[in-house]
Amino acid sequence: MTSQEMMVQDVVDQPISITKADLQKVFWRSLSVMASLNYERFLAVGRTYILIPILSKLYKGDELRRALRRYLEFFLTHPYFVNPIVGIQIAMEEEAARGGNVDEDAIRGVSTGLMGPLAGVGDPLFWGTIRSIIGGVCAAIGLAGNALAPILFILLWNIPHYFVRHTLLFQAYDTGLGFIRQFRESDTLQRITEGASILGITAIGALIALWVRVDFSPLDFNLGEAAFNLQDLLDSIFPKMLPIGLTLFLSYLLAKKFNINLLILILIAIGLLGALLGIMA
Amino acid sequence: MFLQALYVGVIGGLLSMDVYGWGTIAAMGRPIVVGPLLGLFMGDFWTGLWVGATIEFMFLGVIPTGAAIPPDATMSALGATALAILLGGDRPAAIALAVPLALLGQLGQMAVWQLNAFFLHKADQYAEDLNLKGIERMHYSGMFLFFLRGFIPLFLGVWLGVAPVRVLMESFPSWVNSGLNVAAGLLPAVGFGMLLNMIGLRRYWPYFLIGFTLATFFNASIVPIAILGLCLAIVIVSIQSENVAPTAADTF
Repeated sequence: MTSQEMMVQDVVDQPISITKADLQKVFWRSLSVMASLNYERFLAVGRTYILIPILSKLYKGDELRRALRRYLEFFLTHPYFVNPIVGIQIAMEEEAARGGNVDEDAIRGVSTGLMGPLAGVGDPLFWGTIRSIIGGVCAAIGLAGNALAPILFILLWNIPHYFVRHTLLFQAYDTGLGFIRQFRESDTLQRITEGASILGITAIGALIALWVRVDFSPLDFNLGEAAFNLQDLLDSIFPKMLPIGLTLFLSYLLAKKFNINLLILILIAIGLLGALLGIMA
Repeated sequence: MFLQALYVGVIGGLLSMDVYGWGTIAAMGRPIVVGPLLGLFMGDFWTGLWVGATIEFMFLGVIPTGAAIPPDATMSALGATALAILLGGDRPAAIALAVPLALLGQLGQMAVWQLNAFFLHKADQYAEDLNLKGIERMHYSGMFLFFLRGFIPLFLGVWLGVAPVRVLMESFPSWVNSGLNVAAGLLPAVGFGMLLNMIGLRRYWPYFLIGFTLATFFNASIVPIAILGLCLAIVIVSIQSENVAPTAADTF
């Protein structure tokens, strides 16, 4: 028996268990999971970094080397959903280290199977919907001159943030592979996405009316004896028709893949032109 | 100006690390947070709040999906806040600089993602040698690069950039300032337009009109409308799931 085999034998003889404190370490490390992001294997080093406390506790020697290689493979998903994925894998690694019937491909399969679907849920849900609702509401509060806007943003954002990163990490570890089944069978994520979409679009409708300003009030028309103010005229037909019209037109252009930076520059040019001609305020 | 540039560079560099560097501990990397925070450190909270909130609106709909790097709202807010404050609370200057700064931040991010590949290969080697500290060091090295990505442009921008930008802004006639203010009113439409596409106006238009109507005709402000929207969302989702619950598992 070689020394390495003896070490493996050791591990099997004394079952090592992962404690809540170990998972808590994983959680703290997971906050910086994106720090070593790279174009080649994306979150590979970050994920290995967050699992080092677990892997070094479970394995030694050759086993440890193989475990590290497993996690240095290509890995890319939504950064918050890294945690439920590694939660399942920690449960499997623990089982494997105890000599249970878990093979390497099954552990690997959890990453490859879940990283796509969870990125598909996480990117639109967190970056698209939740961030735009909270960001839009807090920006509106901030522009109105309320100093609490940034604090409110931090508080509101971290409710869903810590739920996914902290609660789901522990839950995924507890349920192990059952977590995937739960994930597939329950419609919780779809319901959250649906609800967030409804809330988001309601807020956007209001924010357009409140904060998009297309103001032609300096512009007066003289038709014979009668003088008209264009903005008053438009407002009497339908208030805020220009802001909503502009937004819908821009969303059409953006849907046609119009370059966003160019669009911003065009709007700045329109603003400058409007002020130069004295027709916009 | 050198010491001030160093100060702004370090604070801004640390704030810019939020998402990628030390992690989203509090999601502080958004313009609405970094603007006022940098403003606080530089002694002008209100300019920072205004710049942060305005840039938050501009980039509201700009989201990263998968491996694509979008224009960087964080660097835009940091640079625009720093320059606006150093120019004596010049808000139009912040609007003019927002987009170039966002593109600069995007380039910086691409550069770090490239450079981090070097640390990845070192980490592979350390894994073979079972050098766990080495792997950790590679991770921290990436973190440091993300700090530099914020520090270098902010330091150079404040050290070398403030004087020329001031000359430039002062040489403009007054309509440029009012024009940039007009633009500040138009620009939020970009973010909202992107969000409408992403969430899907075609499917959710009734809720869109509810929000719009409450703000336009009932003069409600955003907080009560958001609370009503939340209630609406909860009611609709619970009605829907009552109807579809028995078949949800089959159709997934």
